Amino acid sequence: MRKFSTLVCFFFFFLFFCSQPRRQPGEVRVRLVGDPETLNPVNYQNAGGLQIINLLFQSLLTVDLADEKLKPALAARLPAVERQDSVTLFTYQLRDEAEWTNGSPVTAADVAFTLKVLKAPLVNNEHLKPQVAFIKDIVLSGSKTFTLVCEGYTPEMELLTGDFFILPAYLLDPEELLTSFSLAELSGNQEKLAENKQLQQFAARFNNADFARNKDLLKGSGGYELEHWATGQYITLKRKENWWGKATGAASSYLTANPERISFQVIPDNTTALLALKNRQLDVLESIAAAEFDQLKQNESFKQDYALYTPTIYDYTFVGLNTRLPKLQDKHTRQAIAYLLDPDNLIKVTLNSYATRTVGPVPPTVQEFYHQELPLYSYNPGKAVKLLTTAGWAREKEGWFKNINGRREQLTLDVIFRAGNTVYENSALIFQQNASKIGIPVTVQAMENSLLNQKLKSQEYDMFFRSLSGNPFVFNFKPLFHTSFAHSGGSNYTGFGNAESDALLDAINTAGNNTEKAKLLKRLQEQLHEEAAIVSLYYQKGRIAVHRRFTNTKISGLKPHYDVSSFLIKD
Amino acid sequence: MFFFLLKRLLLALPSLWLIATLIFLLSRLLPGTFGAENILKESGDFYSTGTAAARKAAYASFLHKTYQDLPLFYFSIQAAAEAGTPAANLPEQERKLLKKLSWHYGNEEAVAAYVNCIKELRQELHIRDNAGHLANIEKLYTVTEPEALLATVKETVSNMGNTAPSLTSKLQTSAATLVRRQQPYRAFLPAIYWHGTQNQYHQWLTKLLQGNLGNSFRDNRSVFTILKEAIQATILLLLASMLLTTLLALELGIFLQKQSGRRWRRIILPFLFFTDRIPVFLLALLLLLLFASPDYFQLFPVYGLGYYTGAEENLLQRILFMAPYLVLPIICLVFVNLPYLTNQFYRTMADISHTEYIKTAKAKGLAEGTIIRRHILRNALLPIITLLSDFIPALVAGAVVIETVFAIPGMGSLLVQAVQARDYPVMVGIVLVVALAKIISHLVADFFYTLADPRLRLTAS
Repeated sequence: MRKFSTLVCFFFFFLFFCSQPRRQPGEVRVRLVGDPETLNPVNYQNAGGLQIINLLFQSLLTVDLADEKLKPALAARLPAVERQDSVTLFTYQLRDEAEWTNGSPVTAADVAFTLKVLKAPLVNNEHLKPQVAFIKDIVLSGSKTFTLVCEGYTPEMELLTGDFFILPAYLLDPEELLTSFSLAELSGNQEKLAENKQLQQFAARFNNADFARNKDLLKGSGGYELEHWATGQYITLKRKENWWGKATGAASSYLTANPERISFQVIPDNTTALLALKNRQLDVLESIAAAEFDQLKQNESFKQDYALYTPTIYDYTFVGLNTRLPKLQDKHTRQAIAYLLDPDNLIKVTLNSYATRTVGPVPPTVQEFYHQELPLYSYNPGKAVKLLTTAGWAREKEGWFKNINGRREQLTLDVIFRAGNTVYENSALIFQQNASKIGIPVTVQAMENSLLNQKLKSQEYDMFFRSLSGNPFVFNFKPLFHTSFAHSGGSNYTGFGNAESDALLDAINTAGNNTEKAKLLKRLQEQLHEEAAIVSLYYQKGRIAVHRRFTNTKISGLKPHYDVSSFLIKD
Repeated sequence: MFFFLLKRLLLALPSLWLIATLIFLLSRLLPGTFGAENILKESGDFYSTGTAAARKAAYASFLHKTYQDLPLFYFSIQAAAEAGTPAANLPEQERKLLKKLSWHYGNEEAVAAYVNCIKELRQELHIRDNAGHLANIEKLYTVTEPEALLATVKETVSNMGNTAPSLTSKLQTSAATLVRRQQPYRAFLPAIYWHGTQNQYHQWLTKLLQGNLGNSFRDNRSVFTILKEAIQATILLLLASMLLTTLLALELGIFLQKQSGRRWRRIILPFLFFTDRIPVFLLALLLLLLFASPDYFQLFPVYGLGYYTGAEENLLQRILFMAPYLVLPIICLVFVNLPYLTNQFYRTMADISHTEYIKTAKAKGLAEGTIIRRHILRNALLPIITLLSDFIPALVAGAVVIETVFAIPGMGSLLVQAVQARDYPVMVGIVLVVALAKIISHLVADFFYTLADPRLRLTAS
């Protein structure tokens, strides 16, 4: 027994040496869910990686989270757009002040180099290559001016022409291996190009792990430099001295590099992250679970140190029904299901009311385009029964039956959703209960993400819960709702669409002004509501905590929901 | 002794190879691939970033670059019905239909003719931009049963009236031929295809024999570097907790064996049974909430293995710096494994304490401590060694949860990430390391057997 007590004494003695790590006041600590794995600006793997690269490198355009507007970053102003028959020309002018870490200016040639890297064969650029496939050529006119020649026209093009990180040619291609190729050449036959020795040499160099992690190579035009990366633990960034963004006049309100040091901490588990926050080891934490967020709201000592925010984020949750199935072909059947979903209750139970209901995919915060007059589907089993009878279903002892194409079919539903998402899971279970009350048997099945995507793509499902990340500036719903995307493997999973909705979707993309666009978008919302192939549920509210010693946090509905580079320490 | 170990090592190689091969082949059966997850995925956004065709082309070039477009193994076995179908040059929608129908009708020629007719008709309608009829055709992609198929074809053709008459009549005849000449039994006949050395397995094995585990799909670092990095944290965690658990279990076992420990047995054993039932993640979270939260005792750091100080440190400084971060994870692992081990140790020793020679020792008047430590323990060592050698793989499994909760970048969390991302090279690399650890632990066990029981040395040589 004596031995045991010595052991206990020793243990407590040891405890004195353990405590919470000290913090430096100038450092902002942010949580990452997983290691970014690579910080290569053309091959990043996850949202965390993207967030960090955004501080090291810059694009032509950026979104100012303060007002959620598209603004010029490396570009001096928004591009001049000129639409011709089959091509659209975007002319950009780069900022005179913009420079790389070594002091040399950012030029149009760097933009051309970047596009070549994005299009070159053998380079690990598969992730971003499709995104710039519409850019066919670049015409340089002067060292700071260039024109991008793009195929056709879609409304998101302006955003996409300015949405890739510009790379320093001097650093990444010192041997000028790509200089002799034109962009148009690189868009050509990839197999033949892949045999070119010069391209092979460049790809081998660029794919090297050095370009994913080496702090001497990952130097962009952004206000930060990579300081240290301990895999799976943390990544620290250091502010550049005398960064050019400070001298850009009005633009310096959103081209910022304020905190001296930003440290990204890898914490996979949500409970651990929350505990780290409570221990003041983190300065920013987002996506806090709804129930825990409510607890934090009650915690006075916590609230002295941290401010809590709930911006409406552009995260659109909806239910999809497979209209190709004979049993779900009739829109009355689908409407009946919509009346059984009970979104108000779902929001209350699964999200502690941190969500805003919506009639369609247009966010309610974008008032100009949102259809205010449409009624929301609410829980109404009586109406559901009536609609089912209208659709030709007959209530029998075991459920609802109908003769379709000479075959007796029962109305059953198999609901699928991504495994591990408790919000979907609980929502599906609530729906299961509601449906069973009027005699519709529902099975609920969680599925691993890739399996779920496969099922949706090959249209082997009845009903699914899913969410999409939207935004307030581009509304191109064509891939989601147009019949030309409704084939097997296409992105219109539900098979929604008719001649009118197709025409609407095309017209929305080419609408000349916002009044016309609003009219068309509202008509589309009506159609979606009427057809009920996609039953819109809600837009989520973000749940974010930020330490009170910071101001100018730019909390926003857009990802990553705050701008860590703009954080200022309160005096 | 040396030759004995060498012989065991050589004998272990085939099983190592077998494990690696099985994992290599089985991992490929997971739905989805690394590229499909990253490249083909729709952006899930309100505007499209790139067309599906452009994404598909990028995906194909990725597969080619990583040799994933090659056949998996030296040969493949397919159903005869499916094997001969020339699917490569067809669009995806048709390819799926072709596969479905081939299984159903077993006559790949007739199926191909029928599917080709649908394809031609669709292309024709696309050219004429006839949306109404295109929607009509969509139905043809869903039917497989003979009666339904004939009925749908008939309906489609009559719906289309006079549009493209030559194509519709061709469709009707090909559908009729298909139903007439079906050979459904061929779906059950196997056909073996030989692919030669141009296959994924061969590529991988030749590289492996040269000591190259390949590169990660995610960041292109060599798997060896990644493993080396991840193994450091895990080894420290595992060795420390294993050492502590073993010592504690032994001491506890001996304590319970003693006369003075009898009273405690009633309390300690049920308590151990109870802790054995607590799930690891619950225990980990409980420890965190109790000992790392401002609400109770804020004694330990919550997560990770330290922070950036900017200073150069030597190994000892680094371990000392990491120590506070490892306390809770180690306590957690010890708590999880202690009950089982203690119980086993205690039972083995209890069995031996009833043997004749222990009674003799007691009769000789030896002290209790001496009897237990010199006579009982030594004889109980053999099963204990076996138990411990099986311990390492089990510990890795337990470490997965602990590494996730405490945010420690070790082998467990690496394995989970690799599986989720379908990063095959890393996945196979980890399994190889675990298999190797298992084999080495068996070898070490063999070595300790001979130390513990000299009689075994005779049989070995």
